[in-house]
Formats: sequence, C-alpha cells, structure tokens
Amino acid sequence: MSVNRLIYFLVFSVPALLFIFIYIIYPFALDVISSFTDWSPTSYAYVGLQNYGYLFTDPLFIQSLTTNLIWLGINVPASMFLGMLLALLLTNESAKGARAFRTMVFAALAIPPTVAAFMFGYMLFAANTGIVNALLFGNGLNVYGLYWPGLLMMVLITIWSSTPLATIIYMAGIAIIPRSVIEAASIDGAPILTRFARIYLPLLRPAHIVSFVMLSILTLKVFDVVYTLRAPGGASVMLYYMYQNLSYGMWGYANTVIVVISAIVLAIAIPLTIAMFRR
Amino acid sequence: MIFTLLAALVGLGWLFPLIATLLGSITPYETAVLYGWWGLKALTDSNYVDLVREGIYRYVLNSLAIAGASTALPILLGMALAFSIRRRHIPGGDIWAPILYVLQVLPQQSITVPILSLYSKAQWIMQSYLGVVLVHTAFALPWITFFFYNFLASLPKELVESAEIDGASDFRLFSSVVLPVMTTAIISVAAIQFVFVYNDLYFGLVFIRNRSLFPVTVFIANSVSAYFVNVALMAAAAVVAVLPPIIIFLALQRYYVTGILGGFMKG
Repeated sequence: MSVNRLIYFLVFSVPALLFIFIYIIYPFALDVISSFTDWSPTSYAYVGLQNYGYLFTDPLFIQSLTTNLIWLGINVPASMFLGMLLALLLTNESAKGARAFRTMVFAALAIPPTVAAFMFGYMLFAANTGIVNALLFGNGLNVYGLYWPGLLMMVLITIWSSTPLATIIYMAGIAIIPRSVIEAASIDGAPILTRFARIYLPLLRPAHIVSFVMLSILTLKVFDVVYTLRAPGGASVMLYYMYQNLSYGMWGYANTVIVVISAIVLAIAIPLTIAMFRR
Repeated sequence: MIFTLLAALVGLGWLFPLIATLLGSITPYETAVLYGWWGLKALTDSNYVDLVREGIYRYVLNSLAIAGASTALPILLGMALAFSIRRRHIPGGDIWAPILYVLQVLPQQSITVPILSLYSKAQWIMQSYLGVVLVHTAFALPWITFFFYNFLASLPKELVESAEIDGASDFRLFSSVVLPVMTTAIISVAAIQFVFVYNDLYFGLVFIRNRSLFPVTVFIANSVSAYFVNVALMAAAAVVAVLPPIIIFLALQRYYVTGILGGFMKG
C-alpha cells in the first residue's frame, strides 16, 4: 500500500510540484534574499537594509507607490459599483436581450490589456486621433504630457476591463440570494432604491469581499497598460519602476520592489484565504 | 423597456473602443490624423495589406503556439496534482489548497531575475518558445490545480467508492472514472488559460530573446511605445490581434464565466 502511494505521489504530484518549486517558490525566496544584496550582472554582496532605505527615500518610487494607491482608490470602488449595477441590470427579467448585452460587456475580458491600452490611448484619447479628445476637449487634453490626464486615462482602461469581472462575481452573488426574499420585497412594493439598500447591498456581502480583494490585487499589479503607453504624463507604477531598474541591471534593488509589492498583495490575500478555508 | 434601453446603452458603450478601432483600421493614416477616423473618409483596406506585408500573421501564430502549449501542459499537471491532493497521496493533504490559493496572487514579475539567471546558463531556451511556455505553465498551476481541486469536491462520492470496491488502482480511477466527468471543467480552464496567455505581455517581453518569436502583444506594445505611431496601421494590428481571443470567448462564454468563478472562489 505505501509503495503504491509513493508511486502515485511520484506520478501525480511531483511533476507539478517541481514546476511550482522551481518557478514560483525558489524565485520568490531568492527575491527576498537578494533584496538584501546589491545583486547586479557584476556583483553579489550583502548590503543589509540599504535597498529598502533607498527605496523609501527615492521620490520616483514614492510617486509610483502613490500612483498605485490612487489607482486602487478609484478603480476598486468604481468597478465594484458599476459591476453591481450591471449585474442587477443584466439579470433583470424586464431587460430584453440582456444576454447579448452581457456578452458585449464581458467581451472586454477577452481583450489583451496591451490592445486595450492602444485603443483607449490612441483611438479615444490621443490629440487629433482620439474621438473623445477631439469632440469633448477640442484636442486640448494632454494625456501624454500631464500626470492627472495620463493617470485617469489609464484608470479608465482598468475600470473598463475590471468591471466585467466584478459583474460576474456579483451575478454569482445575486444567483444565490433566495428568490423568496426578493419576491417578498417586491410584493411589499418597496421602492427600487430601498430594495437595493435593504436587500441587495447586505446580502451581497460575500461578493463585495471577493471582488474587493480580487480587484485590489489586480490593480496593485498593473503593468501592461503602463508599459504600452510608456507611463503617460510620468504616471508610473511600482511594477513599471521595478522593470526600469531591472533594465539598468539593478537586480537586487528590483527584487526589493517585488518584495514590497508581494507583501502588500499577500497581506490582502491571506486573510481572505484563511476566512474562506475555515468555513 | 427602460431597462432594455439601459442595457443596450451599456453594451454598446462597452464595445465602443473596439468599434472605434475597427473604424480606425479602415481609415488611411493621413485621413485619421487630419479628420479623425470618425470622419469616415476614404475608407480603405490598405492598412491590412501593409500589415500582412509586415508579417503580422507570424506574431499571431507565435501567440497561438505559446498559448496552446501553455494551456495543455498546466491542465495535465494541475489535474494530476488536484487528484493527488484529494486522494491524499501527498504529504500535507488538503493544506495544499490554501497554499496554492495564496501563491496565485504573487506578481508575475517576482520570477524575473531568478529565472533569467537560470535561463542564462542555457541561452537557447530563450531562443525558442520553451522558456516562456515553462514559465506560463508554472504560473498557471496554482489556480488551475485549485480549480480542479474545487471541482473534484463536487463529484458524487459513490463514483469513487464504487471504483474502490472494484479494487481499481488510482491510475484506473483517474483515467476511467475521474477524467471522463471532467470535460466541462477542462473546457472552462482551457478557455481562461488560453486567453490569459494569449493576452499576456510580460512573460513574452522578458523570456523571449528572438524577435521573430515574439507574441503579438509584445509586437503591439513595442510598436505603440515607439517614437512614431502609425495609428491606422496599429488599429488594424489591434483588430487582428484581438480576433482569436474574442472568437474563443464568444464560443465558450458560458465556460469562461464558470472558470473565472471556480478559480477564485472556494466551492
């Protein structure tokens, strides 16, 4: 029996575990260790907390971190709110053709962030070639030269791409609300806003939590959009800052950024995981 | 009525960037800059002709090849690992589920330097699809294993018990009892993973050192961030690039939605 188990373990588990150890756990451990070194193509020496000290005094990093947080502060609530609204709208029985419109919204999930960045950056917002810039701002909106226009354009791209995700989570949340509860409320004749505030908002708590955690993590890890648009208006994020340092060959320092981001992301994900697996 | 109208408005609004790109792709560059693509003047297919001449299909094929391999491999390995956790072949047993769940949140960038220095000892690996496929495989394993782990819990116990009574080995149990009922789960995972890899920028950017093997996202990102951007040509490239994932999404929408939920929520 135990020989069998060993064979099963070798055949079923070991291949996948090897991948996970070589490509995820070992690299992450090395990231943490090397964040205390000056690892570069030419050196590898222990430098203590120097990288961390440098990181938190570098205005470029502080600005990237701030940009990440502003991005999070707008994208997460906006996408959650829109996602909830869309979920209610698209599951509403009196909306005809909801399936087709749902597909049109969800299609955003299938579009590469790089392409989305191009579409928004050049077909909608660039001066002269962007319809929004031309029609609403008379080509006067400088999305590539100014921080706030650049950042808000990128935030809009992520709202567009993460709202469908929130919608899916909220639709699953709505599906498990007992029909009797909803029916009782509609017989009561409660106005739509009251129903929303008294029934949906509290009963969708699990969906709030999951979408909050998922969207926060996604937003902290944005990179593709920033890379494609080359940090418009100087709106850089942590992972773009990391990528730049990587290309200067400052490996230990780049890994310090990774450790900081991972710490934030794990601090969000671990409590959810514990709560989820406890029940 | 009002809800139908609202839903239609939202749907069209969400699709608008794509419609804009489609119209931009059939506008000549000069016209797009002078009058905007919404002028709809002098419509042409010349952007697509130029794009084909530049060999766009090669980058799309690269993406498809990378995505195909990076979908098949982790599904195979992840299924086996999930089965193994459920059957307690693996020390620790169920503790692996939360570990995998947490691992999936690490940023892709976390593997960059260690894996690059590993790969630098075998440079050829970055002159082929292999380097990037292995990376994608590893990175997908946490969520894919978690998904199958969830799915296996939903199988009726009798299914496994009757096989045990028959004295079937776990190989037989896996191949003739579990695998046949996994079809929908496999399609869900495949739909998401394929589109995710196809759409990914970072791994292709870092782990491929041969221009002719670049996935289409890297081609587009590098062209867009160049000093001069031919918007009309890039609009056509965007349309071409977006076709495969959109087609997969439209064909497998139902699976796609279950896949997203199953990978992130404990069932």
